[in-house]
Amino acid sequence: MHHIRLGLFLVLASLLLAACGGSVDSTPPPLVAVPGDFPALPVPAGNALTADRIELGRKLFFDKRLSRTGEVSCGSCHLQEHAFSDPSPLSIGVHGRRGTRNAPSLANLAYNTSFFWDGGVPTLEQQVVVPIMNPLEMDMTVGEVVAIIAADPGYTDLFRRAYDTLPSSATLTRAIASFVRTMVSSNSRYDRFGRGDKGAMNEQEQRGMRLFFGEKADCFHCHLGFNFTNNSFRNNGLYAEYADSGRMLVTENPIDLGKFKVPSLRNVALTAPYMHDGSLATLEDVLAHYVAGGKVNMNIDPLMHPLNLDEQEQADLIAFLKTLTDEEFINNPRFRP
Amino acid sequence: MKHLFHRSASALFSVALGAMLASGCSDDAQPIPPVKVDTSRVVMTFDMESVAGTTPFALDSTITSAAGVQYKVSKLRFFISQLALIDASNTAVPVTMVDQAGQPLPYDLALVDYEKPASTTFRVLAPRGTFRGLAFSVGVPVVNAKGDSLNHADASLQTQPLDVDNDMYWGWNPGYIFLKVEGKSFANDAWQSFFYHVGNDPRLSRVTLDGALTPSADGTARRTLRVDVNKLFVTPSGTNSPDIAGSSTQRMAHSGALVDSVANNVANSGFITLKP
Repeated sequence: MHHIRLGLFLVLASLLLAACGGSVDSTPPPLVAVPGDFPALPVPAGNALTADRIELGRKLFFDKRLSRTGEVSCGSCHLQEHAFSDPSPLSIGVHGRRGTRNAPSLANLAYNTSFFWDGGVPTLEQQVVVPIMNPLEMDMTVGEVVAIIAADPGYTDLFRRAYDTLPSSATLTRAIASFVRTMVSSNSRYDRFGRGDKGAMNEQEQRGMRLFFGEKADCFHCHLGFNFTNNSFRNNGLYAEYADSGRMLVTENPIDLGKFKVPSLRNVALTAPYMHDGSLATLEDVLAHYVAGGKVNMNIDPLMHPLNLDEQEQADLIAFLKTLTDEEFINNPRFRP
Repeated sequence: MKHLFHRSASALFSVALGAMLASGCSDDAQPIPPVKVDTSRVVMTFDMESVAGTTPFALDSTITSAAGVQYKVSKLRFFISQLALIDASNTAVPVTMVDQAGQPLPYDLALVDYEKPASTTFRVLAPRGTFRGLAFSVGVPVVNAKGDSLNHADASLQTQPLDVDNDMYWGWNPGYIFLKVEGKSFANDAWQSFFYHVGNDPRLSRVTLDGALTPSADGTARRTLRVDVNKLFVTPSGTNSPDIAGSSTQRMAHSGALVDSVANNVANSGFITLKP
């Protein structure tokens, strides 16, 4: 569970350009810093990362004209101080319309194998159109957004530099995906502890870490690996009867009723409220849910069972979860408008 | 998408090597090969004549279902793909969908949309000869005959009729709605909405029609397909399902048994037949 490999693997603009035969006079700054104890950043064929594409995606991410009323941008519900989640249980879209699920954190999405709580969407590029088209969120057609962007001279040169085209549905989705792909959170106190800084976590936090990765608290069966998720879909017994079918909406298979994607726990102390519907307000509430063992329903996960954790152990676990907060990530000026 | 890396490079270098370098980059478009015209094949045209039982069908006009329910359809759209003619030995011979000029349609499929009357005519490039039937799918296949990924490809990269704004795309579960029927039914003294959106790979409906077809040498062969909208709501055994005048859970669905039923009705209830 502790991947201690030293050194930083940097995805360099110079390498990418060199791969395409361009000439580079000076070494540009790295586009994304990925530490050696993280896997290399996955970047799909057809959308290589470049500084221009990231810059264009950043501008689009914070552009409220992507919505019907001009009031909602991606950044409206994905706030940096909350690790790009929303403190509201259900976010508010155009015309005050409320969504149906809690806005997730956007850290380390480059590594995700599926998107949204039900995992219906397989790529970051394909994910982009969903909030744009959702009537509860931005309520636009992709064509309407492209027309607005294309009429703005401020975007013309950015699209030309990034993709050598005018704005289009293809480049709109590719640009926003490129920006989001760079949102890597990898420098929490937990990470620094793993890299050898033994002062990065105190005794209580270390006790909590041992509980987290042990059978007693049993968190690690789902929340494992560098990103604290196995990317599976589980029914954690939040309800006896689910108003939201979860994964079953995608698979149409009753065994997926009430299953939702196991979220990453990185920056979890900043991403309240919790669960697919934001129904648990605090980490203490979440822990109380798992200690109780969840509500029995036809699909409750076999791993769900009451946990025998005393008050001190619960406090230790929460102290550990707070070490997953990455101050550098939430203060990184590259992720601001 | 094209790279622009050579834009800032010296002009000579870029002109000499640009194409070569570009071909080494994964996101550069490949040149499109010239279309090969197969002179052994001829255009054959199919028109649709639409009815509700014995009444001519038009959007928004009041019609009567097989169950005797008054209803109106405000939207009817479906994809047609994977066309084949069936020869005397019962072999399905794949044929290509083409436009009026005889050029292959992108993706080898067509979207029939009753709000666009011209879309109820489609053309194929067929071998000359005499055939005993026609087969096609209603929906978007996972891949087409050329091996292009279709139903689950990134829609923001596609053009019409598979573009992301075609009003037939599920962004949240990427794939296309194969058939969409929306309208109102009259029951209990009130008009109530109904809709069925049929999608997901297992619901690709295969339709096989018997009837002599003879693509003629001059390319003017024309046949009419009869579309009976009522048959969307009648099972092959004659039961009225789904019930467009039933409870709200009966009247509206985009998954589950009700849309299974619509897909089965499309394939096996005579929704589309070959007019003699």
